[in-house]
Amino acid sequence: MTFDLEPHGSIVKLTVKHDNLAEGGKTFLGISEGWPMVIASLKSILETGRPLPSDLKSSSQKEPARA
Amino acid sequence: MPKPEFIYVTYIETTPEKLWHALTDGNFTERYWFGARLRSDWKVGSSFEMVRSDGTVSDAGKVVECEPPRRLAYTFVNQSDRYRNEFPALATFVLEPYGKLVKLTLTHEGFAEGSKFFEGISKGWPAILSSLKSILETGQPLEIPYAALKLDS
Repeated sequence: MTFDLEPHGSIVKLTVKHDNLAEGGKTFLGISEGWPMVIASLKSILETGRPLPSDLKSSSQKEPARA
Repeated sequence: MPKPEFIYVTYIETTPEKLWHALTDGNFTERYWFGARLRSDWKVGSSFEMVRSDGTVSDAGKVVECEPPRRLAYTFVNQSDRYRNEFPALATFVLEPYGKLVKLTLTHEGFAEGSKFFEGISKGWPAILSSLKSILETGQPLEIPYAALKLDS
């Protein structure tokens, strides 16, 4: 796992690399669902002071998409 | 070698309707998309353009799918010499609501192997979509210096 932080004025570019994973393996599929949620919530908490609502959890369970 | 494909997934605290508006309204895109106004009537087969503040067109293509507020797809390619000989590739946006959140998935595909335009969009989309999330959640876009994209490297 590599996190690379690059400052650009008032923002930071974050690059996350998770490599050495078996192609199409369970770990790869899992983290491909997981990282976007974690990173989206990280961005929200830093910018708004609040993480994303817990509705996030339901998305990985593929509940009906209609809210 | 597999053909290049760009996939970006993010979660935004907003509604599908607001996100749809943010993706299709030129006045709104101008605020977070490096000043680009998207111009289209969003009918399938119609033209799609990204217009700079001076009125010139930076990118052009066609609308392929439009199902508000769930699914939007269009092709485009940058009009500069740097990307001449490149074909318009297909960008598809899928909006899925989950409670107070919307999961946004962008898939950009149809690039030739070794496409320079693919390299360009791979640098551009994370900045644009990150700014999109910020403007919807905080009311303010990000101020990303264009140089930070390192499009020339």
